[in-house]
Amino acid sequence: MISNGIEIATSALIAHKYAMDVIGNNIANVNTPGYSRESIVLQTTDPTIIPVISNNKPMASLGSGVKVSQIQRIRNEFLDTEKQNLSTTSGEWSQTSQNLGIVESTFNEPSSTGISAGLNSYWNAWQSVASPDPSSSAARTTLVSQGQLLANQLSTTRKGLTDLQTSNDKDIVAKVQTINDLADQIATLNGQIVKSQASGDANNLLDKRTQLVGQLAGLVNIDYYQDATGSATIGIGGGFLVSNIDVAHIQAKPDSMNKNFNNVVWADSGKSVSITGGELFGLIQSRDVKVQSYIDGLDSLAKSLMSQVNAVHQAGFGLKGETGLNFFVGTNASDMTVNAELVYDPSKIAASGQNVNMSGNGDTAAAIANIRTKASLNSGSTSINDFYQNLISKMGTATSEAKTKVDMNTAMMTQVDTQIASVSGVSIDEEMSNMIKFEHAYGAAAKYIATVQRTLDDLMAVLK
Amino acid sequence: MRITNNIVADQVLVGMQDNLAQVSDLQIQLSSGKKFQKVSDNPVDMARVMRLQDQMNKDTQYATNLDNLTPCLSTTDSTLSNLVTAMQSIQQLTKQYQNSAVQSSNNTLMSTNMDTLLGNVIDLANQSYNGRYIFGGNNTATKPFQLLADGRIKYSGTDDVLKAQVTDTETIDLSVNGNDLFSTHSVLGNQGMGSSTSKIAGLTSNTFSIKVGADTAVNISVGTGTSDVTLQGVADAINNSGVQAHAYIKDSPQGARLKIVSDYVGKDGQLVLSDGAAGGVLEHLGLIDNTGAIVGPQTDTSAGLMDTMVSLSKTMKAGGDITAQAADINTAYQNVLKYQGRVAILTQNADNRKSMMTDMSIKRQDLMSSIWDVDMVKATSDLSRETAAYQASIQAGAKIIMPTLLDYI
Repeated sequence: MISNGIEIATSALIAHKYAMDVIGNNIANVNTPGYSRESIVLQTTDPTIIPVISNNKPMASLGSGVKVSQIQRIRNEFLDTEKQNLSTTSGEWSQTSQNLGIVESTFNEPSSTGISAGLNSYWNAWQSVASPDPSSSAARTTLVSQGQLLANQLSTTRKGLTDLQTSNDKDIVAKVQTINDLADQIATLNGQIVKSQASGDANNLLDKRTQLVGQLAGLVNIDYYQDATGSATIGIGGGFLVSNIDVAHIQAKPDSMNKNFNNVVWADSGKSVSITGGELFGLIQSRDVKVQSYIDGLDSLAKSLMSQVNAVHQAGFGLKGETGLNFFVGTNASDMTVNAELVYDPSKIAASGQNVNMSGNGDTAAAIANIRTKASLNSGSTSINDFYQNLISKMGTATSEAKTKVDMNTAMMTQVDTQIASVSGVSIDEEMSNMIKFEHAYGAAAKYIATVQRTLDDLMAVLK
Repeated sequence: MRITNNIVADQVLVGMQDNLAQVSDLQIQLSSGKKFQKVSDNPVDMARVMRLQDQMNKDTQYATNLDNLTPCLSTTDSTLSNLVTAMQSIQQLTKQYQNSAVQSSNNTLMSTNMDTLLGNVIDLANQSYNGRYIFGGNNTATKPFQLLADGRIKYSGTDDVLKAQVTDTETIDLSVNGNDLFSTHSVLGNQGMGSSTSKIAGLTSNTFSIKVGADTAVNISVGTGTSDVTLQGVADAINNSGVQAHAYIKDSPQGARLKIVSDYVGKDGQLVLSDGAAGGVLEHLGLIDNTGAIVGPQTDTSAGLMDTMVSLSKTMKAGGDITAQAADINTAYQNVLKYQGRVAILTQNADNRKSMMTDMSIKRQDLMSSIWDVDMVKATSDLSRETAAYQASIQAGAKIIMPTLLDYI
């Protein structure tokens, strides 16, 4: 029965050696992203039955040692789901905020170089033509330059916005590729996890998958289920992206109805993917709705400016009686420019309201300068300057809202991350105290072997 | 809650980042002097700032408009003073002539003196400021007053005054027009039309005639028939007919009205208007009645200074009686004094406007400053508080992150 003692001690040494290995692994991965700490679960081995002298029981069970029953992955799945949802919202708003930030710097208001300053200089240039001397070629030349500058500011700003749309579109293509890559990796992991779960623990594979699903959730709105075998199913807006080891890819397809920008469709059926969240949604929204609304705003401004100035200008007279000329030519903010005839010969600018004795008449110029305050847009409630200010104000409010959302999401994300770390993160203090515990147990077991050995030695001495 | 070392480290970092962001924000505020830099920093106040900037920009332009034209007003003022002096000499000369016994040698001399004074007055009437004839209305390219060989004085200017826009909706006059000051005959229609381009209904004739002074009457017909006459058509027909007068369309509370202004100063330019038939164009526009007598407001041709001087010179040379002309000179003198008073009022008005603008601009600047400018004292003390907090968080962080149980085993 003495060998029993050695068995017990050996099992203790082995189990505690494993326990310290788990601690070692935890400490090694203290800074590994997505790592869930592991804890060893010890269990008694099956007892041996020994005969005893007792009144009612002939046998007793004697403990036979300890064994490792499981190496457990400490994880709270609820928090993972929470984080996935937050990632989806956060992904959307971070893209929105980034894009609106670019829109804001494209408009560059308030500044001495923005459209607002350009508009003011343009109206003032008309005032300077109107008085004191409408025939002054210096005032007329300045007016042409200010007109060109304004047209240029409008077209440059619009170009900045369309460039942003194009860059969003390129990002969408890249994100679609990333989503497909992630789906492929998750499907492969699904296969490995199911296999590993059957024979043992798949802790590190699960960690890896949780991380990939987290990344995917940041990109697009997903529905996530995990079945009893450990396999994960991922859907986007009702369609299956990953189901066990099968993947349905999505695809970016140029849409001729939408300026050949890419639409996201299912590769097999060609139907649109219903995207309602994540970075991909943020990018699509920004490209098709948000940035587009500022482009539309600039175009309305440019069109209204051109039509109003031209209408008054056509009715006026140049220094030699020229009439019926447009001041601006173009169709919208992108191609608006000052009429080349006026650039070539500013004396043709129709500053006068009459075609006889017109050299000192600045009535038309004054009328154009007053378009500044004329409520002509939004069915006669807003002037051109107000319209632009409202556009900028709207943009500022939207940008500020997006920033607040991002801040809020970041704070909530930090909180969930803290909660996850609180459950799954490695605490060095805890590991150290466990190490001391296991080290002592290991030492005690070793000491027990020495005792057993001494007992055996005593026995051997008797037998000699 | 279970706390791991990394949670502590992350939280210290988040706290420090927050503090540093505050410090950085305050530093940007202090270095720029503005509470917010981008529209999204404070959309509501930024909208107010942009509106104010817009308004201030307009105010600056309006002030420039005024500044550009007020020197012209003072030139007008000094010209009128000189004119008054000249007129006193004229009155002296007429009195001298009336008091003296008939002496033919002196008469010629007095007549020559009168011619010299006339030259003087015409020079004053052709005074310019910055290349612009101040009494020529919108026609800045031609000298407004010219003495013709036949002794008439032709006015080439227009019936306009210089105006400066001083608010979004208001313009103020900054000169007096030459035709009123030196009395060229003008008649304003009593009847306003809704629009200068709408057809005038109920006409019996689409022709009329205008006779200027001693010239032969010019017959003018408008449109293709009695139902094809517009106010604009009438004005264009007069201006293109070659008659020595100009037509203008004047906006008034009663609507658009026709004004006919003769090209000749004083009695030489006396307008005689008549319609092709009773109930014709000019009657409809309220210029004459059905007998051809002028009913609309008209200028007093006896206030014509220059034509009276021409006539004085002639009469003096011939040794004739100048009682009538002396009376006309007196009327002209009163007329000039009236306009001198008007210029004084215009100057005062411009000065008032200017000081109102300055006040307004200071108020707007104050408002802008209260919205946008950083309160330096507050920002500086905030900055030192935030800096202290940031330093504390760094120091505390360094102490918190370091120790683990590892240090004690």
